[in-house]
Formats: sequence, structure tokens, C-alpha cells
Amino acid sequence: MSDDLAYLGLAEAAELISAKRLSPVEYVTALLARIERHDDKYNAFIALTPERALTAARAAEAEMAAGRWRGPFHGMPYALKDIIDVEGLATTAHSKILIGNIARRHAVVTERLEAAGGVLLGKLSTHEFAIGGPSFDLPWPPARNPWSRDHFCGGSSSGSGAGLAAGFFPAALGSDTGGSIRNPASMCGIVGMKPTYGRVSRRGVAPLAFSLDHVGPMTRTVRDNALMLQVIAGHDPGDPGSADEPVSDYGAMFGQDVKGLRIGVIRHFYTSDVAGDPEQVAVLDAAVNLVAEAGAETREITLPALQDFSACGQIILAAEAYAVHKPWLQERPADYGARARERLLAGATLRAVDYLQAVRWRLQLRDQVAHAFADIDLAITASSMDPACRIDDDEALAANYWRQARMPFNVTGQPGLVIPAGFSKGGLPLSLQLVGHPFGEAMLYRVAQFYEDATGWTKRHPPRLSD
Amino acid sequence: MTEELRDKARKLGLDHLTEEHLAQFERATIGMERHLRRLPHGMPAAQEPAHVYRAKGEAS
Repeated sequence: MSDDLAYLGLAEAAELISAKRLSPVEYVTALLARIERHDDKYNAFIALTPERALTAARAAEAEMAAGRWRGPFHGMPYALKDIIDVEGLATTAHSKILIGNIARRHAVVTERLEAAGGVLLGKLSTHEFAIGGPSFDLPWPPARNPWSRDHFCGGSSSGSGAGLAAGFFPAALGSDTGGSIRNPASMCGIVGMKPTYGRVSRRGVAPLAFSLDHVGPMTRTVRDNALMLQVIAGHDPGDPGSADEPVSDYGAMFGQDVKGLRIGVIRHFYTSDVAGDPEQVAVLDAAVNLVAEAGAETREITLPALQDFSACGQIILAAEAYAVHKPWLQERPADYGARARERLLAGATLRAVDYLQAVRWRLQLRDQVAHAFADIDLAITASSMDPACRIDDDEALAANYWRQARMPFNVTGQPGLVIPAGFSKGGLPLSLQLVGHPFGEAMLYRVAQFYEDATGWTKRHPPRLSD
Repeated sequence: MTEELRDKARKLGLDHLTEEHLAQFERATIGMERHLRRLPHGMPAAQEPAHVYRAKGEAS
């Protein structure tokens, strides 16, 4: 299979399929063959479901031949982080604890992707229970970074990031409680959207921390990301955190430039709160210059310190996650991997008043951020402070959890979109994050697509996977 | 491993933690204390927490 097909985007594939120059069966067959050939090196999948995928691809092809086209996701291959339920398949959360946990019904996001005609290829690696990885002491090995197997691929949506960079599928879902979509997007050089809190249903998705959990699309291009969000976004009365807000047309502003937009730059996150790697800071500065030269009005804005968001978010996360995991930690602590167990035990001694103080603080932080965003259209900042570290460097892996600017927007619930922004001298991806107003995803896509077209970073793929 | 830590774990119902797990528990607790020290003091008494809960709308 040529790299052209492996790295085909959703939008491009939809055009080829609609012009009858590519069939869903041909496309899915080619991707399955590539996965079979390469995934033993990258461990993106926990469970590959080829028979199911081929049956769905044949059904899509037959429907289209009969003139019933469901839309641009019809016949499109995708994969799911293995915390998302698919009826009849195990949801393991990459943990011994949940081996054999067969889902009795689809998650709402799975239902929406299936209704749109998507073709599920399988379930993807994650950090155990979406917290604490990479781990070598679990029933499945951790996903590896296609840009360099020796380097961390980010997490917790690790298989989603790795599989996209490896050209195994054009679209995947991840989840993000403290940065778990945006971290692998940064490390693997792909596009990851954490939508506004409540924009995408979490029903049927294993919870980590109820008030911080988000589900979102991960793709290789901005246009594909918008396309996938369009499929999964919407109110779900069965999810208590779901927002009853109208769904925007996420592609409505594609093709528009950035002239006249007011873009805040949250520079203190990556220069003074935490000193970002010079190469990472340089690509952020270059991105700000690029949009300014294109006519955007850029200016620095100041939010509370990164460490405040981190502390607030980690207290809430630890308390809510312990509420979920307490019975298993009490009865089966040895069935967790070391990294997840340690992070989950952090909630054991928290007092009710600590949690409540953190959620009171959260509203103050949210209001301070809203004030700073009052007269801007969106903001630009870092996602990760560094390119990927080595996967065997425990100290750097631990630092990965605080050398980041993702948790602030789990705390506030605003959308955050991470896109590739260049490469380090060592050939590893660098990234930037765009942050919007609540339900302002379409504006993020507009600016991201402008940047993508101007730079071409999303067209680069790991070199050693050519076949 | 201190007896105090073991007692604390026992009181929390974490009876099955091994020595290795207790060391992780200790590190996790110390890490969390660092976050707790950043909690603001002197919040206004009427400062509400963030709510997920919403009352259902009027019956239709």
C-alpha cells in the first residue's frame, strides 16, 4: 500500500469514495494489512476487529451503491480508545481489573459514529484507566511513538496518537481529563481537540474524574478533526454534564484568514511559570508572528499561574477518581499497574473540605480566565513544554505531567485544540495549543486550518514506516 | 515503612497494600500535600463551588 492511502485524510477519502475512485472495502482492507504488518512495533491496538470492520465496510459499500449516502463519515475507518464501550466487545481500560468486561451497549459516541456509517477497526491502547503511564506491567504493552519507538508517545490516549501517526487509521477518539487527548497529539504530531465540557457525551465511557472528563476527536488534519466532531457533538440527556447547546457548523469558517482576529498569547505559561524547551518556545513565537503578519491583532494576556490550575485540577481529579476506584484499590490493589495505582492512591486521604475548597477555587479561576478572554477571540499557548522524552526516562516522564499547559482548560472547561507546529532538531514533533471561548470550537478550527495551510506541518509523517 | 502509614492505610480500608504499594501511597500522599498547600485561604464565605448538578426543568 502506498503512503498516500495510509495517510489519506477523512475528507480526501470521502471525496475519492464519492467519485468511486476508492471503495470502503479496499480502503479498510489496505489499512488492516498495514496494521497487521506494523502494529507489533507500535502497540496501538489492544483489540483489532477485522471481521467486524470488513462486514461494516461491505455494508457501507452496498448502501452507497444503492444510492444511500449517510454523509462524509460513511465508510470511514476509525478506532476507539479502549475506555469507550462498543456493544459485544470488551472495554478493558488497558487494565487487568476489567479483563472480560464486555459492553452491553454502545457508548453514545459509538452510536453516533456507527449511525454516520463509520467502520470500527478496533480498540486502542491507553494509559491504564486513562491515568498513569506508560506502563510495562500491564496485560498489554504500552503504545510506542512512530516518530521514534524509544520515545514517549504521550497519553493517556496513547494508541490513538500512535495509530494516527503510523497511518493505521484517519480518525480516532480519545478522552481528556488533564490533557490526555492533547498530550499524545503533541508527542505524535497529530491534531487533537478537547471540546468544551459537555459538548460530547461521556455516557458509556469509563470515567476518570466526572467534572473534568471530556471525549474528543483525534485526526491528522484540522479539517478531519472538525468533520469527526460534527458527528459526535450534541446534547445527551443521559449524561448529567452534557450541555444543551446548539451544535455549530464546525467547517463554517474554513478558508477564512485571520485578519482582524484578536488573539491572546498566554506566554507566561511557557516562559515564566514553567520554562519551556527553547525549541518549543521558538515555534510558539514563530506561530504568533505568523498570525500577526497575516493581520491578526496579537497581545499577551495574563491568567493565574499554571501551578494554580494544576493544583486545583489535580485535587479534583484525585478525589473524583478515588470515588470511582476505591473498591478496587481496597480489594485488588495488586491488579493495577504501579503508575496508575500510585496516582489513584493520591485521592485516598483527601478530605471533603479539601475537595470542596478546590471546586470553589475552580469557579474563581474560571471567572479570572473569562475576564482575560473578554476581549479576545481565542488564545494561543503551549500544550507540552518539551518534545517527547525517552520512554525509559522515569524522571522526564514524571515531569511530563507538570511541564504542560493543558490542565487549565480542563479546569475551566474551555475547548483546546493542539496542532503540530514543527520539529525538534532530533526530529520529534513540537506543537501549539489554541484555546477558545466555551462552544467556540469553530473559531479554533478556522485559525488552525489557516496555520496548517500556511505551514504544512500536518503533511509530515514518520519516515521509517514507508512500505 | 512507618507504622503510622500502615495504620493510616488500614483505617482507609486499604488492607491489601503490600510494602511496595505503601511506598507508592506515601509518595502519592506527599505529592497531594504539595497541591493542597496551594489552596487559597480567605475565600469569601459566599463563594460557591462549581456544580455539575442541575435541577430538572419544570415538568412538561
